[in-house]
Amino acid sequence: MRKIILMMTMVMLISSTTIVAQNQLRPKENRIRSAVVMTSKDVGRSRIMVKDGIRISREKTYVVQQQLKRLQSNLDGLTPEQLMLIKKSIQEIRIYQEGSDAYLGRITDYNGRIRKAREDKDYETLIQVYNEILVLQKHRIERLDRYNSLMDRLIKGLSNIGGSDGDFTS
Amino acid sequence: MKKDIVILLVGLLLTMLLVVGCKERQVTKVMDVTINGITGEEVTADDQKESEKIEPKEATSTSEEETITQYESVENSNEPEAPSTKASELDEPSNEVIDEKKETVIIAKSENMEDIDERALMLKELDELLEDVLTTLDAVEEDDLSDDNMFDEGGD
Repeated sequence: MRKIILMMTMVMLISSTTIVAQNQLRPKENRIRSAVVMTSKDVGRSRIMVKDGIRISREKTYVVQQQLKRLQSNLDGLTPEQLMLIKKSIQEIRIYQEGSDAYLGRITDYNGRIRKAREDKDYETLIQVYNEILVLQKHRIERLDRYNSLMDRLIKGLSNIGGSDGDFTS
Repeated sequence: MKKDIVILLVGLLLTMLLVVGCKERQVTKVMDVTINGITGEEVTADDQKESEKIEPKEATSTSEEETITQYESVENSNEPEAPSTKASELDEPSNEVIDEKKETVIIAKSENMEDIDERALMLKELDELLEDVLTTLDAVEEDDLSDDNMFDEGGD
């Protein structure tokens, strides 16, 4: 009986030691995996911000388009300030559009690299790729914010024509 | 004595379960690790601040050049003539613009035809630009990572 107890105790000791040893052998891998998860989460958060920015941009653009339709039937009612605003906005939107083309198709290009890095368990590359995507996303968020501010200015500036002066964005 | 054996057996079972569980799941803990921390160094507050700063590597490619807008060219070329005579001199796409302008002039009932033409063109140009922006927004939305390329906890 004593032998059995001794044997079981030994097995328990060996098992426990194995767990501890395994955890001590892989601290670097655990750390880097954690870093990948964190960076990926950052990318996920930025994705949501970009999508929200796009949704808001669409809504504001539709509002301005509605205002323009109303203005078409009341061209005499446009003040010099509003004309200036439209003129300036046209230039700003045109510059915005020129900048947009340079950044299109860039993020989808990373899909292949990520897939390969995951297959190879190349976590350093994964982190690097995610960080590059974060830079692009940050840039997009900034651009969308700028465009949305421009739309807000247009909505506000054109809202006193055609009897509409309420909040269009809600 | 029997009691001791039972306790030891339960302990042994739990230990084995723990070992098997750890091996199979390979649980990934989310730790506060920055890129600097990958090298095995301790993470300091300065490192965290640095890791949070993501500077764009490429500058915005915005052109500072003055854009010659359509309405400006029309403004320069338009003579104070009736819209019908202008329409005959222009090519096909322009005819459509002139037709719309004529329609707008009728609605506006203004005596200052040139001003009305210019305003109508400006509105049309802005509307077209906004349409372009909407198309670009669609393209930006599509230019995204696929969901399965997001690295989750416990993944891979």
